[in-house]
Amino acid sequence: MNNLIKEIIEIKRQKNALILAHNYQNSAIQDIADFTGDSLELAQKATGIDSQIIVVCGVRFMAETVKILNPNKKVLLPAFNAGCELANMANVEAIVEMKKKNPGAYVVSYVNTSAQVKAVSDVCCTSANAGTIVKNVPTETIIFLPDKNLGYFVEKTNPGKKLILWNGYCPVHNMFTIEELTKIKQTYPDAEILVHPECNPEIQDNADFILSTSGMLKRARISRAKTFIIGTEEGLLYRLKKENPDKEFFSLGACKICFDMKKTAPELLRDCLNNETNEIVLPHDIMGKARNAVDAMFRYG
Amino acid sequence: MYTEKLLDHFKNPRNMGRIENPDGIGKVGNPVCGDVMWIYIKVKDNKIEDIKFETFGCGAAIATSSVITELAKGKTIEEAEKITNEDVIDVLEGLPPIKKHCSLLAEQGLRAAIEDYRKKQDSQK
Repeated sequence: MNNLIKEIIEIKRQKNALILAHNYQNSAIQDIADFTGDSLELAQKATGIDSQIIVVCGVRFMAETVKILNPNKKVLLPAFNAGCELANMANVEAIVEMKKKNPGAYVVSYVNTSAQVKAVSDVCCTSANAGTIVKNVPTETIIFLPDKNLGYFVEKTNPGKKLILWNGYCPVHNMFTIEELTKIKQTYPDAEILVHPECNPEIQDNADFILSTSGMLKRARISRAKTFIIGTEEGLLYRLKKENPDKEFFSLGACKICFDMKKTAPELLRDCLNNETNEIVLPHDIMGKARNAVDAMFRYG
Repeated sequence: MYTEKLLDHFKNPRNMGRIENPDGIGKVGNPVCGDVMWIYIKVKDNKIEDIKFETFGCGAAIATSSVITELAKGKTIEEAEKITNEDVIDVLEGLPPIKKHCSLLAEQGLRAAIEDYRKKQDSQK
């Protein structure tokens, strides 16, 4: 263990802080963290731990979600300028406009959205529960945002519902091509293909399983397959390999990296924790409304 | 999916925290979903005088931990040992089938804390 990592762990201990890391973070950060997971998982899980300071190694919307679920705790984001291109594609004004055009339609928004967008939504969803939420909300017409690929996946499994999709996508997941998939299938014909629902429809239609990152981790644990092709951000491969040393994991395509996720350098983490800077502060009313959308997810999920 | 009762325990967990120098600690985990739970107990005159938990888990796991601490507080060791996951589910007025394992985790966590307490007692004899 190098000195910097030792230092971080020591400061963390002194402050009784909790360090959370998203599954797409650099491996060094994943190793320092108390827990790794996907965004909503981390936000929920933080509520059961007795720490007043929570450091979120991830991007802004994740830290905001942690704050929404833990309003009385101090939530810090080391890489303060780390955003999410997908989350940035949704904006409040356009949603309000859409709501006017479709009175009565429920607004279901993905967890990858800002607190402001959540605040004008009726229900939140994750890639793991989006299908169930859409099925259970009381309206037939649903405004679904911001990921059109996740929307495709949800629509396919809910034929009775009419989804009004937003033209948003995650640039990393949207980048996988059918050529890459065909090629890697030839190289590893026995491999199980696990892809994220943020991948484009062509990729989804040719995969064995369409899963969230936590779903992929579970599948890899219980599957009898020895080789897996993974269609999501490359950071997840580190954890998959760590948890399943007897199995092999390959990325569906080269260089599928989310650069915002890699902004959390250990030095940034140390300084942020040490000085308690980069705190997430949200307006009270926004937090309350966003919390309602998250609670609705627990009811409909 | 979740009852109002469950949401309340998730949003306002009871007895969440740590006990300094506890008489028993139970740490249990669920390998499939990666949840981890710690239950700390303080025992006086064979009764659970204080109990606290920390759970790194989903909303249901946090709520079931919260409930089991409420059920066990003030009970004798023998009474506490008899608390089952069904008792926890009753308090929550139901739990979705896919979340039943969370209530089992709570039951196991409490039993592990009691077991640890007994071991410590035996070693002092």
